[in-house]
Amino acid sequence: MEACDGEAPTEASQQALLAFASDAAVPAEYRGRALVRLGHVALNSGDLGEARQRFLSAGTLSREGDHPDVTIEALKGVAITHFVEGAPATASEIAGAAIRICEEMRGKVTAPYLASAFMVDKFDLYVLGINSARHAGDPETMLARIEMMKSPAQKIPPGAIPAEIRAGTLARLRALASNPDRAAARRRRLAIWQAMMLSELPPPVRFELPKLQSRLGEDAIAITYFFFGPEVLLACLVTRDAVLAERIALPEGADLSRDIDRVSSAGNATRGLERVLGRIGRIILPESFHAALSAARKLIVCPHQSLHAVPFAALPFADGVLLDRLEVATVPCLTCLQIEAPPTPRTGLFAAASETAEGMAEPLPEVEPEAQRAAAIWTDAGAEATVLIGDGASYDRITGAQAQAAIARARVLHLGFHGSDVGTSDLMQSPMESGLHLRDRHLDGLDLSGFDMGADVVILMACHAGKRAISARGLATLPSDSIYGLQAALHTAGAQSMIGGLWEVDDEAAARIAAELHARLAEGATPAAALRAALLAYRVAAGPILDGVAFWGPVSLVAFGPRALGL
Amino acid sequence: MQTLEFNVSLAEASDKAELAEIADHIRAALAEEADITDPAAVPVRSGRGMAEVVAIVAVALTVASDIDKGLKAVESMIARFQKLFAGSKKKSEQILAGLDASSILINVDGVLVPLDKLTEEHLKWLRSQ
Repeated sequence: MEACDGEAPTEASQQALLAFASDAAVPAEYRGRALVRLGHVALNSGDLGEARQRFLSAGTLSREGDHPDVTIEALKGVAITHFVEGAPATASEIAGAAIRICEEMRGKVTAPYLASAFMVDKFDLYVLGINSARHAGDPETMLARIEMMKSPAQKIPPGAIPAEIRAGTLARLRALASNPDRAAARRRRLAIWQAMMLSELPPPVRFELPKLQSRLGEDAIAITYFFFGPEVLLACLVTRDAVLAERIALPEGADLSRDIDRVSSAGNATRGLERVLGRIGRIILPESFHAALSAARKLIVCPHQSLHAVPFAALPFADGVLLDRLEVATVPCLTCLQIEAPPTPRTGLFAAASETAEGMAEPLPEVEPEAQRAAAIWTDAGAEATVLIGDGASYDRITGAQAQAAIARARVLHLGFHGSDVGTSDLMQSPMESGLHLRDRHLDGLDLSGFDMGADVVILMACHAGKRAISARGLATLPSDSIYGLQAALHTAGAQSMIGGLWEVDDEAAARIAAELHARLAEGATPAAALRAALLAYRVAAGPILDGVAFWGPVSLVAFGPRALGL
Repeated sequence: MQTLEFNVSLAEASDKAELAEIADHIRAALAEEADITDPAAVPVRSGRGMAEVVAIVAVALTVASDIDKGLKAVESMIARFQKLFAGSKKKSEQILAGLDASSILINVDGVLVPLDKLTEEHLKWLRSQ
């Protein structure tokens, strides 16, 4: 079957396929697959009647032998025939039946990293389901299916793995940290983390449009994106009382992926980023969204694939940028906004920073004073502040019992170190090992997953710490947009949101932004409001060049629930 | 009026005070050029990333007439430093004396192109802005 997938079968091979499919001695699964293949041949030649018949026959055979893979393909084929025929509602219903079977199978895949691999050959089915629901005028189904393709692991509350299991995991990881056999220790650490991730978890929350709209209220709007393919993007705007879907075909001559690559590889030496972001904004913020963007105060963006690299707050809008008008946060999925976040009893700050790090040539002169200033701000506000700097910001101290207790009590965590880039080739194979370079050792996503941090926000003032893996584990794109790396680790550890750098963070700019950010947080502002105020204040005071987006643009907020936005 | 943005790439990372001096010299030299207004030069150092950071001085200026005159002004700035600071014992001045066209990275639509590697295509883009 594989051999003939790439090109249209000849007349002779079609006859052979038909004979194969009709042979009762051949197992039903293979006969079903042959019929699916013949169905696609008929579809390509425009014979919808024959195509549908072939797919239906394949479906009958697959059910005889209980072969869900073939059933899914057969239903998808039938749905395509209805879609092509101009019956999107029927197509949507049939695609929905296939998606339900797929979701049932997917629910059994629990091992870390495997969920994305499972979805590789299912992507087209979900595209069909989303597109047919859109054409059928069924926005709730359309959005629910988009949500199925967004970060499944973040549809449960942050910190869902019991704290004692996480603490046990951290203790075991810690014990291996000084193992001289680094290769063996690395394998063992991954195995320990994987075992924790197989813990029993609450069932994922189901997307419900009315609940999302009620949560958005009058002030907030949400935009969710979904790439149908490299050249076609679906953008859906959700307000309290409406859903507006725009299919965006990339204009001729536009190279969105090249521009996103430029943004993704930006640093404080990058020039002309405003122009690049202008081109991106003109494509992904369609004019039909402008009125809602002008009227709202809060914008929640759920990006897809490469759009995770885009600093949405810095996109040009009206006579400025989105940040000028709106509090902006991204979310891994819209469903996470439905998850109730009870008021936190936590207060105060835990901060750690180190000017130098093992193996890093360049010192960061601003990080330690920045952590001390943050602690002073919280202390002045009458809150508890724990700060570890210099030799105190070692792996053993931060993962030790005393610091862990302070971390568990803190409302805000601040970590100022060199960061590692999840987009580098080594980490793309093992993104959970991206992390922060402490004074003496690397603190990676495996370690952070074991922390108990119910903080409102974790501020990672480190390069690339807010960056998501877009490709990983041999997959050019992650079909279900799963989060790996630091964001996944912080969600597992229980954080409600994180602020981090999408690209290289300038040491001096980060220090200035952090001071204002902590001042606002200590006053009780939400992370979204505090970050907006801090970035606006930075831009006013920065002076020429340093006010460029290369300096403030990377500092972005990722929310795992509604609390970070005060929803 | 056209805008020209470029980075002056410094072969060796310098301390904060030296970088500030270098930026001052660049700003002052450009301000002397007849076609240039509002030159801004800011030292940029230390990203919180893994890559070894080469310090830069980021420059933005407005060219009163056309971009070719702006590029000529940058070239004459390099020549001025080479003459002025040759043999200087001061680190920041030694660095400036060592600058050449390959150290000047011009922003061409978000891509940094060395001054000595600018092609007609790059110039076309710069002139169109």
